[in-house]
Amino acid sequence: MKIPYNRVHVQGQILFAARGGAIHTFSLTDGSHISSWKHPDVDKVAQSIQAINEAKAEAAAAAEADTPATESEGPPAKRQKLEDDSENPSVSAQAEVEASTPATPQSAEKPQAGHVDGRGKKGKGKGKEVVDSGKSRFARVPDRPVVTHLTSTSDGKHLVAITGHDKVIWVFEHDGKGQLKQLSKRTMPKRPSAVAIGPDNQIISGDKFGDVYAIPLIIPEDGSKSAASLSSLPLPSKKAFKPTATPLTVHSKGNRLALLNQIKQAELAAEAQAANSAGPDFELNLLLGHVSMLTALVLGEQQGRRYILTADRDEHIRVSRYIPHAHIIENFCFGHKEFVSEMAIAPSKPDVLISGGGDEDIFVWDWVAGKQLYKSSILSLAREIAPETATVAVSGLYTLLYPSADGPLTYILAICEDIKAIFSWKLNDSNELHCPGIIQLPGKPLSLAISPSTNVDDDHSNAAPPTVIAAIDPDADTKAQSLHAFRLTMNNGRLAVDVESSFKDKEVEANEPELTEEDIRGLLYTVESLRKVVTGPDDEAGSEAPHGNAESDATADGTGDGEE
Amino acid sequence: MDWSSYYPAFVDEEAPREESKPPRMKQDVEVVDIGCGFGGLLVGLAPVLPDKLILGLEIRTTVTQFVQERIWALRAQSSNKLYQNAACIRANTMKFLPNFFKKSQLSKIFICFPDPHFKTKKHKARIVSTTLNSEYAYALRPGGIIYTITDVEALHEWMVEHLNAHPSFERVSKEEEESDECVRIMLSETEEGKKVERNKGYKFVALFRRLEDPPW
Repeated sequence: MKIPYNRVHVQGQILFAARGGAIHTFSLTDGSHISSWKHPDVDKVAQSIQAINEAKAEAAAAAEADTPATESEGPPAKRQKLEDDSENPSVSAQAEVEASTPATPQSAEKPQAGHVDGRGKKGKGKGKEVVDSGKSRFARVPDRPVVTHLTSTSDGKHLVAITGHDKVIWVFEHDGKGQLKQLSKRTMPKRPSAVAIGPDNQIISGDKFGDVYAIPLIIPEDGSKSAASLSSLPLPSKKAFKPTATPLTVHSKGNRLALLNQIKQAELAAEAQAANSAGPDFELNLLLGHVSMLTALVLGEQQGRRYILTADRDEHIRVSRYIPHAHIIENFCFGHKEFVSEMAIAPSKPDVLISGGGDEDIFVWDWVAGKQLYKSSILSLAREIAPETATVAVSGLYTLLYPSADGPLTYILAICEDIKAIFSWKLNDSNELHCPGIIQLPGKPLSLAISPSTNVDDDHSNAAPPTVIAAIDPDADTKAQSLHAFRLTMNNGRLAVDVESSFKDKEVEANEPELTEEDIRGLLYTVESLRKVVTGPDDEAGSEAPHGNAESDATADGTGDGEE
Repeated sequence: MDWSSYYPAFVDEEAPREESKPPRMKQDVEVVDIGCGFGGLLVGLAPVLPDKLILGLEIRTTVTQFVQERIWALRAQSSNKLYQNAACIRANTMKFLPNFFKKSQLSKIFICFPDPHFKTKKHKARIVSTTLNSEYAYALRPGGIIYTITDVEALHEWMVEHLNAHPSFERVSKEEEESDECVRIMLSETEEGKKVERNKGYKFVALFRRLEDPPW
């Protein structure tokens, strides 16, 4: 199986399509492939896989030679490296050596190691054994790069991409015709999980630790600070070590031990800090933070005032002011009972926010007032095509304008993880979601992009309807292409497919390496895993739900602080 | 959120009852003790601020229960209806503070002897942090005060540094601090405060005032 396209983004007549660690550009007019950019790790992964395959073949041959047939079945090569680990250093040198190995082989061997010599030696000996057996001579394959986010500036001159495994934000210059030139590569403190570009050319990025940073799109050559630094909150300072408590300090045993430990390791820590304190070498402004994984981020504007809207895994949607007052929280939108994973604001309705996540409903908000306006079940739509669906995890929310004689209509599109369809609603004048539509797909949708209809503004009746580009994970049996484009049509107010078109990506397709289905799932299906596992009632962290404040009679499920 | 069972004496009996909504209260919670522990501060403050609703937030379920029972017992024993204004709920404040309070609802927030989280890696878990301060600023009205006390000097410095650096807060002067009745109670009535007293340890106090939001 080849990794499918997993992110698409449209700018003008150019389609940016990310496929694993590569970004390909296509022309929307004729579907031709224009250019490609590849994450440097793509080749590293390929090399180490090749090295491992060679080593595996070699080891398998060796195993067959001196062990019974049964031994060579399971993970055969791993078994005997206890003896000859040092004999074969070339392979581990080739691929990056890492002490940790994928969980499966290690856990498979752990009991065995403990059984063999775990009796006499305690703790340390056993641990060492595990490490030994875990440090396979087939060193770990470096993380496969995946472009998790793609967005561009409104003028289309710059493209911003995020790769999750190395926490990097990439900025490219775009010539408007599909050619990309890499401008910068900045490694963030934590893995970015949401991104937007502000009108003042600031990249606003939220991360897995809940913090939201602003970094300038273009790194100024003279090293000057941007206006966002005005809004910057102080980053935790890195001071020289000094004991954090006196022996008189009253606290728990755990803290006392930690303190002792800290004093013991004072010098060590100081050294390590000196090495680490380099920090980012680019301008990084902390704007705000959630105490939860940040999952979605959009920028809003109303009455000339700009806002940052952020959502997290703990059901919150927060409305903060934009730079330079990003520390001021204006409001919250309470109502979600599960994680929020996607938010969208239709440019035609700037005062309305659409949100979705692990709940069965899609929510419509007056976000400035923090008021819920409407909600509509996406689960019931999903059940129309997949009746056994128990929960949905919204993995994409999009807005589009559909031309009509009475002016353009606003539609909301949604996709859910593992559900082979696009759901759509009309957002009417009273901010309700009507005309639910289902467009079935030949695979699971991973990302959508909308190419707006032409001439929406001047001639409504003659304008061509918008086109949707879908990146899908094709079913193994359908042999469908991963990249699809289709022009929409309207049927009784519901959106449907009119004309399908495809992209000429044979060459790209041919160069993609084969991956197992499991790997692809692990890389690209990450939304449902945001759902929290229900904890027992006697759990210290508790599962008691705090009920929302007076205005919105909202509830939220607090599963406590067991996250980190 | 239905507060009527926590503050039964403050339910607005006159207000018309709406079926779907909880009973209306005469007033909102105004004073909050984050991480109230065994409730020493709540019990100390309740008679001093008799016309304000005081709420303790505690993450440990059993401790929360203990504090609620302690308050019920005090209410029952009180001849002049004291302690009706104190209550305690289980909550993870770091995650759900804004779920409980409207913007600018609170006038005082107490943070007494918080977990110092000595390890550098755990600093994110400290109850005073750059980004959490924005949430306190949300719940606190302009002019409202955050009270902090700790026996750990480094944590004190940390809290002062982070609150000072936040544009929504300014440090309250020493004189004002000393004349504040709540500071005296915070020093003497909290369980941790007493423990530190016995150990002859130090106590570090810092108060911060919520400033008006800048116009925009």
